[in-house]
Amino acid sequence: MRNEGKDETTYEVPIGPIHPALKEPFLIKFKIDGERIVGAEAHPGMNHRGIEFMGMHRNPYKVIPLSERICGICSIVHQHMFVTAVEHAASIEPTNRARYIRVIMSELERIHSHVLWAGVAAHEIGFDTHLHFTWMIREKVMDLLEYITGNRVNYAMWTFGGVNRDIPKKMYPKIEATLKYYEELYGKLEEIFLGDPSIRLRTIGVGVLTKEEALNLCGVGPTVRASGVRKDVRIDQPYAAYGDLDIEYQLPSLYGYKDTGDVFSKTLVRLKELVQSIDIIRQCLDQIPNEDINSEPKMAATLNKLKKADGEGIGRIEAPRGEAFHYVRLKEGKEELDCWKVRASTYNNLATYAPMFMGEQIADIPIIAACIDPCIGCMDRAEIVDVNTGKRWEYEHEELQRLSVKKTEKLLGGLKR
Amino acid sequence: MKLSKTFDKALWVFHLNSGSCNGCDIEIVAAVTPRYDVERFGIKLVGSPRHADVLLFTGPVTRKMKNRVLRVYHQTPDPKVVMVIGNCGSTTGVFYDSYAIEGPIDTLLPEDAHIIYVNGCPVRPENIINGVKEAWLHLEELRGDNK
Amino acid sequence: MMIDEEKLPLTMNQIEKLFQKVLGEAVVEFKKEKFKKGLKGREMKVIWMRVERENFLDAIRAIAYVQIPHLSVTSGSDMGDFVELIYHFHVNYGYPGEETSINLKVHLPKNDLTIPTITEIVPGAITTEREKQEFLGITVKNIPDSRRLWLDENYPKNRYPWRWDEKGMEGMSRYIHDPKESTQKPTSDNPRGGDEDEK
Repeated sequence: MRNEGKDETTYEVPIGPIHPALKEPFLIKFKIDGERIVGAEAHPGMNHRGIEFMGMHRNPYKVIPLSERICGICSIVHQHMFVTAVEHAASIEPTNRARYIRVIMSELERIHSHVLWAGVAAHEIGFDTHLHFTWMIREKVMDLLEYITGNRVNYAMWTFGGVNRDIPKKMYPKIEATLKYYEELYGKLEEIFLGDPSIRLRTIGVGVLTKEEALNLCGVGPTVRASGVRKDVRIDQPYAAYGDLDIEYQLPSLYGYKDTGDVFSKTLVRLKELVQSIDIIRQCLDQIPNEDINSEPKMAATLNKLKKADGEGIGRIEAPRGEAFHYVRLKEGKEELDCWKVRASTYNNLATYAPMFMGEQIADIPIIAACIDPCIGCMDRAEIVDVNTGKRWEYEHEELQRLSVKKTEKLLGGLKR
Repeated sequence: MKLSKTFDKALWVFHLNSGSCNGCDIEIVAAVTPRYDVERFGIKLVGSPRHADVLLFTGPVTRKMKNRVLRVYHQTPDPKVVMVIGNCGSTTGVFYDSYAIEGPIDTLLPEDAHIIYVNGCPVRPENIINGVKEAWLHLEELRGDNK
Repeated sequence: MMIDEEKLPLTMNQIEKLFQKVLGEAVVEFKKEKFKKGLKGREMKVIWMRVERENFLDAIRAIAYVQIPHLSVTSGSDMGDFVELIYHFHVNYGYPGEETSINLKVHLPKNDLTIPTITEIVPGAITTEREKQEFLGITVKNIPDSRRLWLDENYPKNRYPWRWDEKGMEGMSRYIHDPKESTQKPTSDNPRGGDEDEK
């Protein structure tokens, strides 16, 4: 895209969709003026599998495993929303014990997801030691999830009217030990991500999302809470057992920082939510009532009820990445779902990319792209097309990261001087 | 072409997600990080298919990714081994009746491709390590053929 | 224009009155739901309402009058003679336990599948409006960006995944476990085809 009649030239830089390291295929096209980004446009769809279409051709019980496999990181999230939406549509009440177990599982997942994100963020800035450190400590919660459910990912825990597996008393000590492990390590995490001067240089003032933009673009989750927006489904519209618990909006201003909405605030919010999750699980273990885990243990009876049900329902929860949403409609006499809409958190946060990238440098692309915790996102290969000469060359992810690392080193050099 | 002995002592792998749910992708990274640490066997995740000996494919191959999958396959230098990670890669799994799926991967690759299937939904890191071992043996065999 | 923050959060009755004042008779359906959740019985509030298409933008403005609207998503489905769109809004966010879902329905007849864009009032709606265009075959009038979002560019232009009629996706899937599939010959319509030898 050339600016006619001017000396300066804008280049278009597509990044993605294939990336070697971690994330799902995704493409962002940037407009670059020198080192500055003057425009960003997301092109999703490489991962489009037609989930809703498949769901509309299966019965609700068959959709539970499918909904788990929408995302392998937040498999609990989509199960939870789908099951709540169907329960809403068919007026099925889960037991209170099941509600508490759902909260415990969701919060364990939040811990694993946020620790995972911290590692990814460190990797994008160029600190692979921290990537390995965070992923090492993440294995502890994965062990606990495996201990409770029997699998590391895709837990098959949810069912209509409750959960499939109980968390008996004998499991409490191991849960408590894991929570303690994270509590002790939290100081170190904070020291790394909030105290380290080079990480501060790379994150403070980078990728700013103002409060107005966050509200207008309907952003969700830690991405907008970092800008000072008070949006958290767990508090605003309590689902499962969250209404019984004592929770607070995690905003940077709560801890004496400014609600700037830069990458640093987003890191801060995610780290504080880690502590909050530990607290929520402890509250749950204290208050959990002794009841059955499922209000209707016979699957055939529930399936029959679902076949006769006629209605629509919504499921809305606060995923680690922000609010997510499912809409389900059941039709009488029809075994399959009549309508199913899935909305993940990143869907809404996609629009926040444009203001966050504006005016930043190429070397900041990895960390800003990672800062909304795209589920899971984006980058590995950048291609730069010089519009004037038609010459094109490619940035491999490694090279892009090298640029990012170089910037860190440069900033560090300046610090020493 | 004769392969040197050192070749299969240090396998470099390239990971390509062709529409999977991230479950397997995260487990691949988990296999690289300290708990499972495949790097001690000389296995390294690289950023370009042109540097890779082994391709890790995950996902049922969506329509938009089909040509990119093939492009990456042809960019990888021979001899190469393809590891299909996860059930949806080998049979399209739960996504079998979607309009947006072109897979499974083995129906798209050339017939002489060397494919190793690693099953699980998602695959456990231990199984991935086992799969890489299989790839290793396969490459050793290929070296024997080329002597 | 927006109401004072001191008057927030609005109760469901106040929201109902607001819609009656702004839209009057144009509200075709209005349903309030309350659920008790958990041991303490905290309530979850949900409103379902339907307006005519002519008054659709007024309804959005009425929601924007309460707070900057939070649009979760737009869902839609093929109901036979018409397409139903549901705009899932949320108001009263920021007030613990008070947030209310407003599910705003609009019916579009099959012979005129158009709806005005709401991106002027809710800029974040662009993703979901583009999605509805490609999945339901509706036309969003004055949409700032009408390109495809999820589907491949070389996909058939007149097939839409969420439609149940002849414009739906029936026959577009590849059932690899279906033995009939493998006897099909590759054609320009069905480039995947199958194995000739198995015939």
